[in-house]
Amino acid sequence: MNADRVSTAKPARLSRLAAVPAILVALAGLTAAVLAPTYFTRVRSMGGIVSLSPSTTETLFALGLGHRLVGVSTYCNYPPEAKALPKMGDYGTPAVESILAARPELVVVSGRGMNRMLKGLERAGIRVYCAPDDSIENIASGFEELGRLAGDAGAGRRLASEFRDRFAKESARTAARAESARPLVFLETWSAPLSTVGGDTFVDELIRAAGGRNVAADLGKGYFAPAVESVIRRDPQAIVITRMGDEGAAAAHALAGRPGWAGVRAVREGRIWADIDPDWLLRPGPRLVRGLEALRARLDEVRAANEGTAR
Amino acid sequence: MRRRADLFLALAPLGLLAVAAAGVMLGPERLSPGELFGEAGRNILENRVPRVLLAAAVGASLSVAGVLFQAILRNPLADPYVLGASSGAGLGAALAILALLGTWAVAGAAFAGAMAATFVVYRLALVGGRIPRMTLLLSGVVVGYLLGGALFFTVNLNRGRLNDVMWWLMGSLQATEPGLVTAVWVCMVLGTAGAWLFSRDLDLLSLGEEQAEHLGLSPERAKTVFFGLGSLLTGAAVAASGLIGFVGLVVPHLVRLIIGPGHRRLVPCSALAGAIFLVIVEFVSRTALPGEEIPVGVVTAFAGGPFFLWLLRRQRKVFWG
Repeated sequence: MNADRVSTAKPARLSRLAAVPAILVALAGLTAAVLAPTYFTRVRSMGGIVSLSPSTTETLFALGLGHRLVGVSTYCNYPPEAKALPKMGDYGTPAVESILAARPELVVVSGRGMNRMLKGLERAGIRVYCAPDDSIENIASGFEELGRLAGDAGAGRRLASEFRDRFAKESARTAARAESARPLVFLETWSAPLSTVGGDTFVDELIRAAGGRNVAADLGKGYFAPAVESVIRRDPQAIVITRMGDEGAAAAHALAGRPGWAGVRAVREGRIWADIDPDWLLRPGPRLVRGLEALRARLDEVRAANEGTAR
Repeated sequence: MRRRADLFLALAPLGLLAVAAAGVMLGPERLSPGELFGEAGRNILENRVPRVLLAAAVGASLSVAGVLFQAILRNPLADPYVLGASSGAGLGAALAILALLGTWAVAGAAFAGAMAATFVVYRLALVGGRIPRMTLLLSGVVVGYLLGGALFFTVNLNRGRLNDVMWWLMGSLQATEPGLVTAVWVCMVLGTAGAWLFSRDLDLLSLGEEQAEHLGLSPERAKTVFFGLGSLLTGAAVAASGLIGFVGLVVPHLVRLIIGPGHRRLVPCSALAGAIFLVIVEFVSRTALPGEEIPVGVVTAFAGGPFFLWLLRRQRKVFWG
């Protein structure tokens, strides 16, 4: 009985008092939330660069500015020095705290534009640059811009003009080639779903400059899953698998064994190539030149073989 | 109802043949029959036929599995994935994909994952030799969440392969391995025949367990058998084509609306209807966008959803009983 009365009378006052800490905490949190944005934008930079794409890392090293990097993405594996640098996430999931702690003056990333995380870095006073990857020409302009932003505009201009010249030279060499004389190439970027590159990509430009023709140029845009039977029907003469080693061999074997592929010319004639470094073909950086040369050499062999049989 | 069911049973095989023929004859590449069956179309034909066959077997498997799970759980929302098969298969497949294993190994891992997950759910739900429906449903959902978490954790550790896993989760009928198509057909025929042979028990089970027991059925044993059959059908379908939603949920309801709830007809009619539906879906996923292919799961939802809603509104009375 007595206990009952206690439990009805006193607790009312006590519970009111008990709310005080909660209210104070809420007010403190609110204050912090209001003040934080202005406080955190005043982070002073330490002058380094963080590169969140393998291609921009390669470009910075090619510009002779690798020493300025204080962080790279988890996928950066070239040049070997890059592997020793601190890993700071990637484009989609940058390690925001590590980047803020490194206080770089510049964060660079390839293509695709800003995302929510990158905007957050910008709000913290860090400059963010997205290097374009939509065409060979824009990739070259990106080298120039990156050189300028990173403090060596001259190096940027030199790298860009060297890159442009190589592509221009190869394109000129194969420009006169008739469409029908260009070997049809299917570039498999992924096997499930079967994926490739469309006519609006720099990879398509690279295939053309190397003297070939992208079998999927008009089937779709960007990186996409093409209609499988359309690829089969067009009967590509060569297939490039953009994975290497055991994985590339397995992918090549699997593709040849898929229903309908046994009769495709590239499979019949044994032209499934899984030994060109995919990073030379798919990374919008300075090493595209090597991909261009490797593919050109292969396609020249195909042309020579064709002419041999024609005669 | 019975006459309608017989008519359905007589006409559906013809319908299946018709859509399968259309699926083989038509595609993004337009070829005349002469070309298609001649030398020029051999590669294309070789690519299309396994896809159509796979679509039919997967559609039938998922629909019959849906019928089984709806009968066991007496829950209209039950589908082949409700008892954890999808996330179990997903985790198995993702691990195999991340380990860079080949098509057969991925399929085997998915099948093993589906069977293992449903077995765990079954064991968890077993209370003193009985399987209360609610416990079964809840343990299915919770095991599904757990495995789903493990799946996304695994993928997150290896984001470079996200693409592969995503595509698998959205379902694909690109038949990459002819042997797998055969395997799915064998499982589908076995599972459907099993469900059909015990269709009387399915009827009794859907009346409710007490009534079933009064009528001489051992509900626990029947549930175990149907559970096994349903898992076999789901596991095989998922292993060959990833997670294709919607079919197993909606096709059985649709067929029930047309021919009534008797399982002796519902099982074969659902199998046929599921096969027809997925053959059409496969065709659409291959042809809707010029030059490209769309994930099958997207098409099942877009094509099946509105149609089902329309039917639901029209036949509200029948549906809500």
